Amino acid sequence: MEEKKTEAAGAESVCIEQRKRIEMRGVSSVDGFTPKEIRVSLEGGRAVIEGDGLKIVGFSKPNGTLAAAGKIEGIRFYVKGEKLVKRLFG
Amino acid sequence: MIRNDLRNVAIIAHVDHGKTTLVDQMLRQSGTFRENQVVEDRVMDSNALERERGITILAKNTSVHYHGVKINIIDTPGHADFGGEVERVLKMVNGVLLLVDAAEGPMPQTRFVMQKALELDHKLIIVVNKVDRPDARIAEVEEEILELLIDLNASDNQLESPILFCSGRAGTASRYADKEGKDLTPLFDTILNHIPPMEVDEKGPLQLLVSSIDYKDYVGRIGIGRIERGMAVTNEDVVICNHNILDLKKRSKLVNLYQIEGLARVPVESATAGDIVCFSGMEGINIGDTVCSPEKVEAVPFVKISEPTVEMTFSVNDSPFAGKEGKFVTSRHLRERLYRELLKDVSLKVEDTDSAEAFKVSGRGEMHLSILIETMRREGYEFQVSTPRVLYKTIDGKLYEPVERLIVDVPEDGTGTVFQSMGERKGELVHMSAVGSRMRLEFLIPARGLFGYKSEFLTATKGEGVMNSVFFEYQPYKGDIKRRDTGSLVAFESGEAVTYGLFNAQERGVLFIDPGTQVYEGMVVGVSPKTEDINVNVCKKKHMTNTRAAGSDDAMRLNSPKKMSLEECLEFINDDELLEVTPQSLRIRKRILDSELRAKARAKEKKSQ
Repeated sequence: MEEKKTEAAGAESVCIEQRKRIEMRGVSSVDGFTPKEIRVSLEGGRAVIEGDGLKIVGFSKPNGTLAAAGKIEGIRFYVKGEKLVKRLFG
Repeated sequence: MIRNDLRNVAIIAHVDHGKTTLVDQMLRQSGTFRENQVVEDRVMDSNALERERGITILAKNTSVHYHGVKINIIDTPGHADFGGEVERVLKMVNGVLLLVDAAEGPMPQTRFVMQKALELDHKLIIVVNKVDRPDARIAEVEEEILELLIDLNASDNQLESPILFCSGRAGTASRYADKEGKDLTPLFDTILNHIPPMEVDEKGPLQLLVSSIDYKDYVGRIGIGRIERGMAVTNEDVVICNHNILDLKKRSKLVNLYQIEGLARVPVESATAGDIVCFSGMEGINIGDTVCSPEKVEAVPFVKISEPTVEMTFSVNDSPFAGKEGKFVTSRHLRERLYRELLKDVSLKVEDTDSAEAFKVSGRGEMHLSILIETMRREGYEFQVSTPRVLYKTIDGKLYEPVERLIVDVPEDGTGTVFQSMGERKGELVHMSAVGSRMRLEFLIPARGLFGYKSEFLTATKGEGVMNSVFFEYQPYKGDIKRRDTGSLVAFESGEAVTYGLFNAQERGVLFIDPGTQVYEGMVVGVSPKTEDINVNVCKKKHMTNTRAAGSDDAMRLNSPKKMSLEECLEFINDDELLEVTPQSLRIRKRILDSELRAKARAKEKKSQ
């Protein structure tokens, strides 16, 4: 099982398991979701998880944790005040 | 002295989780009813509205005897709107049976009442009810309850509260999830063993806290409460005081004293500390008052009743059809009835306005007020109500509004639409998780964002969604929320609605009335998809004079009209509309009936914006 931990701006951690499940910490709110993308706000900015058949399986604002499942294709970060875009798994 | 012969227990749960059905079974199995006695279901629900809606509106007291111990059982309202009742009842008991549905699991009201019970450090007995349901998820629900206890930072011994698995309908209880019970004996035994007998001082001067009131025309106001100290004796002189009203010290007399036996109030000469009693003969007695012996006047601290959050204007019906269907139509009738409701309902507030024909009525939510409207309507009252408005507060110069905690259970494919609607209504997602095959979403949303959402929610989730909300706190104003974006079809002629007129009108939107309905100018007869109101003439008849080509007289098919319940009408009406409530019908009308005056008023309003 290929597991990749990545330190991303603002989120304490992002953990993607076999591109089928993603768990994030440091999420302050869920701004919107469709089967194609999930938009969340982080302490340091925003992130968009892209994929297919995506669905949120768990979110807790007090703990800042988000879990989603589906075919994960990419995650795009928008850091506050900066146009830097990092793309994993392009 | 330790009252080993007595236990005071409240049964608390969410709407429809089976509280009153379980109490029925406890009464039957403890021998309160004779074998051949005919007993209606839901014994504890005394008024028709409660039976019809299957909900408990008023807390009621009853008692059973088991192994020589008297168990006072208090059934509490399952609705968050009546939060005032639950908080007060918890003051009378020292043990709580917490009922949770084996399929639905903990819901808003469970959370709300559990928080209150834990704050008072009451002993808890958790009852997973309806275990006979086919979709029961007993293990998961057990887990959810413990998570909720932890979330509400329960103490260690509260975390180890005993859990029983019951079927209220079958009248069985068991200590083990996988073993079916035979009867309610395990429940009775757990009450006796887990809920401690009270230690009381029956020799000290009398001190009795009033936690509930009732009202009977013949006897007047009846106070209900637990004797905290000393003994109460009939015809004894007492003094009434109140923890929150320091200068209240009124001399009075305990004229009649009753204790609860089964479902009846039995007159008694005296009662001792620990007993829950009813008493009458004290004019103006109120919830939160303490009845003391003149020797020692000392008020018992009391949970302040939470403030109302929603307000409506009740006014005399002045529509063209006024006085045709109701028995009580005058301003004096309306005022008297509203002020009499205050005698029983502490969560309600009634204020006169500058007009003698209108009264501001505020309560703990739309449902609280809609049940009052329905009750008055069935008593023969006729009146008009405005659209519900939230009660704002100004704190440190900033505008604050009431925010509710909303929990929705939806099928998986319904989460997207719910989330989108919540976004438009300024709702904020705070929790989301899978519950069996469904998703549970928890939002914090302004109370005004919930107006009119129930019907939209049921449509969006194809009737499969379950939603419940409870008042959370006051938070800073969250900005404008888009209200209803549909317009009204307004009749501009008085008379009888005919098929020909309705046939033309139904092209403009969905109608609310059938042919033959009497209408008046300014009455709302349908809803139009456009935002603007549209005047329609539903009384228009076909002119018999002119000739027509063959076939043009085909039968006119009318779409079936949309019949709206009281709640749907309250959700539908706009700020410029009123709901006419009579014992037989509900009619929505424009505040300004004349179409020209209404057009002028709208033009003036547009100019001023």
